[in-house]
Amino acid sequence: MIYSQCHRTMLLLVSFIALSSLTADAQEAVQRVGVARLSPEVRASISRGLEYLAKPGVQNEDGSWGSNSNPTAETSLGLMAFMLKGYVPGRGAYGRKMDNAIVYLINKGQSQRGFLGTTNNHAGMYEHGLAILALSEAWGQSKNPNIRNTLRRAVDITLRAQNKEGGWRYNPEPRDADLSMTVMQLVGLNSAKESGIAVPDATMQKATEYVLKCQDPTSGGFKYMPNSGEPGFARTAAGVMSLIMCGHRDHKATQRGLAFLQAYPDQKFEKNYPRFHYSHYYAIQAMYQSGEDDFQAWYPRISATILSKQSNDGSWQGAHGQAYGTSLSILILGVPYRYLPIYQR
Amino acid sequence: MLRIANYFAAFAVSISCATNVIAQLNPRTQLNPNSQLNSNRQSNPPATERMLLQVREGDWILQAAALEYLSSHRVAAAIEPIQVIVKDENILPWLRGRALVALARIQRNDARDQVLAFAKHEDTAVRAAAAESIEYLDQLEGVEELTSLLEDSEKVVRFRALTTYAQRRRAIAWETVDSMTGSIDLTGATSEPNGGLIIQAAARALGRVGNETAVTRLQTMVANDEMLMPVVRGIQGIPDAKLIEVLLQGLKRLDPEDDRFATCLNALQKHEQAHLLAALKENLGSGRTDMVRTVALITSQMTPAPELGEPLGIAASQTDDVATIKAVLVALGPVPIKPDQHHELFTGYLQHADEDVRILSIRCLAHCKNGNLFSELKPRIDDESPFVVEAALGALLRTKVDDAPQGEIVNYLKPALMSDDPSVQSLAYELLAQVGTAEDFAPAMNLLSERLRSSDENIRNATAVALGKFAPEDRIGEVVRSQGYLARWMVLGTFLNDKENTGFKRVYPPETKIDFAAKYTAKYIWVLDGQVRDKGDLEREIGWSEAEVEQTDGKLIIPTLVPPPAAFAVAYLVSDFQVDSEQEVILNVDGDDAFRVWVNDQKVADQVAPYKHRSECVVAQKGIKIKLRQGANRVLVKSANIDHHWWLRLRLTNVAGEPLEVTHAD
Repeated sequence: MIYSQCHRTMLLLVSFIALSSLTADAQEAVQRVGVARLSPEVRASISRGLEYLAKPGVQNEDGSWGSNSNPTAETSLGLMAFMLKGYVPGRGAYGRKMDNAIVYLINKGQSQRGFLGTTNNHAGMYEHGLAILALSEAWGQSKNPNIRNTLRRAVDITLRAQNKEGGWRYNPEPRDADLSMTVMQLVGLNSAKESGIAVPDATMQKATEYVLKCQDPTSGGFKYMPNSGEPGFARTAAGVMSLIMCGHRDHKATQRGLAFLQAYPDQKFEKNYPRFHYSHYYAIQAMYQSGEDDFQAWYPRISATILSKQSNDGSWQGAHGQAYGTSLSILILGVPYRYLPIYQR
Repeated sequence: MLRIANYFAAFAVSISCATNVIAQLNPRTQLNPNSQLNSNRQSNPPATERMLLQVREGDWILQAAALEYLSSHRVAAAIEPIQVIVKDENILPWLRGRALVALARIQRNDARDQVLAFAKHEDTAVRAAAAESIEYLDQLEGVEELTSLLEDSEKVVRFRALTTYAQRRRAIAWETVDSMTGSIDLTGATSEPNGGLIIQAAARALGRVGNETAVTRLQTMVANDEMLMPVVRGIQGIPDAKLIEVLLQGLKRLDPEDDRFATCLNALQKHEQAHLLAALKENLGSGRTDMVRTVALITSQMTPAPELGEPLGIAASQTDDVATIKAVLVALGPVPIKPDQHHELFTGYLQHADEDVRILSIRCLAHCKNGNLFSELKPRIDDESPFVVEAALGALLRTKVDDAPQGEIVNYLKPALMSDDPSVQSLAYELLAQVGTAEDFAPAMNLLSERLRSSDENIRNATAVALGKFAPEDRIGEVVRSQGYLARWMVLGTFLNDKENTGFKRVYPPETKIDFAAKYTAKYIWVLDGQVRDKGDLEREIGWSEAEVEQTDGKLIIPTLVPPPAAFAVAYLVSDFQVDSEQEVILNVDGDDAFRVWVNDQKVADQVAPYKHRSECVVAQKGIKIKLRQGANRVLVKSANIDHHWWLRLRLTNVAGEPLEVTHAD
């Protein structure tokens, strides 16, 4: 996926149309493309999921979603879940909720010298990358003037934390690296770069090289680290997605990774597959970016599984709570919506 | 060949061995001028505890070192053990003397009574130590004793007293200093008893007075080889800029590899930087070759000051002395000296007759940011000295790739690529691989194709690997075929295998009939995140596909040609080709993990590598004589993998070992 100025302009145009021509209740933006792929069941499921996230008491008073353990991650995902369907911060039924989420992330950055994740937490850097992604996607839609500076400071931390191999790991310091964390930072940085934040090409290049080193030469799957671990579905989905996002869709490594994902046994679609949401968040994007045939072969199967997992209240259970499960389920189901720049081909 | 790396490598000489000797005559300079009496243990220097133990040990050398350390830091806790030594009449007199000096350094005037009492001691070493210790007393203390010591029967005591006298009465001491030092017989002075100590004391007294005559006398003394070190030790630490010249005179006579060179540098380093730089500049202006060389050596070893760069460059351009030029180049190369300012000087030396000068100028140019190193070093790629060529190639490997001549790199590197020197050739390959582009491939193949046909596997591999770095994708096959490797294959996989290689033993359909249009239902196994799938084998439909070797080393990487996961798997590979006539040829096969080969339906090779978990399992069978028939021939290979790498490589040569280039069927 290469996000361009053209795409962003289109996004703004679509947002404008959504804001100006539809009722607040049905603020769902005009679907210029992809609407045919979304069955009524899927659309209804996404709407119910968003309604759940907007229910009183689900979003915390400070604008965050989720528990105390990883609020930045859950807030970032929640914010993106609304943007996915074309909702805009500050406008309409969900505008205030989205604004509050953005303010929460900005406050987090201001109180932590630019770091957006939860401190003293192994997932802190994951959250930091996710928040960069969410704020980059929000920038241009939100009127909040502090997003830019928050992003700049956050990106600066990420840049300084890249280690010699080109990757990142648990702490915002250039020490060690693993694929999962590196992909998260790479995705965030790429989105920030496309949004106009300065990110050196050399940083992206080194990170891409790190991802490539994690590929298992035999299977084409991706490992947790270059010289350790087994190739796995979740890691491969993450690795492939990041390579595509960085403009390497036709790279042999990407193609082999896609083949690995496709050939991976059907257990990957089962409800209780380990790291289900994490894996499929990346996998569906990889398949979407890979092409129409791959996506059409994949999407019905994963959407069926996700629909079957939805609770009566519209939420989904996730490995890190309901806000996490609900947001990621929406982000997976809603790939055909193209309002998020990251989802544009 | 004089290796530059060794040329200036002999400076790291420890001066610690001289500490005790220096301390005898040079006590104040060993002190931290700001030091206070260290009565609080917590403020003591780190080695205090160890030294307090060491000073009580029976080894006089260790004790002397401890005395020096403890007194230089004025450790109050050391007074008690030092007193023990001072009062011990059975101890070595020299050590007792050192203990007295240490006591005076720590206690100053509080040690007065003992110092003055020892001025009348019967032992020469103790009296000399007393003369030294008087330096630490108040100016008005010990005047009579010092006067008496100046007239001592022993010369070493008189001269030691002279240094103290020169320190106390500098303004009026010259008459006495002149009288005593003027009488020194320079010839053999150091061979008499305590001769070195006497010269050292005399030099210190002269240095402390520091008038013109005194400095001239020091110059005379330092010119004497035997007196050099005592003089340097004597004047070390005296903060008088006029003494810099004395040290420079000493240094210019020494080879950098001489241990004494470092001692002189150490003494020079104690002078203020501004004074030192002024003196060095003035000496450069003298135009004397020996001094230019000395200043260059000092600059490279001690004072990489940018302001010395220009005068050094000018001075170097006015001399033909090779040693001086080399020293100047070493001095001007480092980044702090701003080598770009001397770019022209460096390029001028690229044609110098001496190869070390050429090498040094290359290394200096490599430190410059401006200029195109590829252009500047082009003539050196064809230098008569392989060491110069190595230096040039090494520098080019570290320079900007963008400066390389696009499309011309093969011609540029031709002399080095064709060199008989293995190091040169290896570096040339490395550089070619680094900067070569698709444009360079055709000329590179023209030049190196014979190397690809070499019977020497190392040469062949090195050439292929270098070419592989910049070969366009559609020309990799050319490199592969030139070496005799079979480049075009049909591939079918995967069939089921297991950790015991059962699949390799089992006969799958392609072994009975090859049908490129056929489809097969094949089982496979998938290891899920390190755990073998527990739902039994999977099935999928597989068929033949075309494949080309994509690596210039001739290896067919099988996992890229079959569906994942390519573990616990068997694949079949077929290569059809034509030869003009029936002939006997040699087949070489290697691969990872196992292979079985049939040529025209005859099994000719069968190897299984012992399995090593997640490691390379390479096996080879070489020198297999086979007979090819005129026209079409077929090679069928069965290859198996358990995990990790999986590749195969087949090479055909004629009986003389030359690669056989076959024509693959379309």
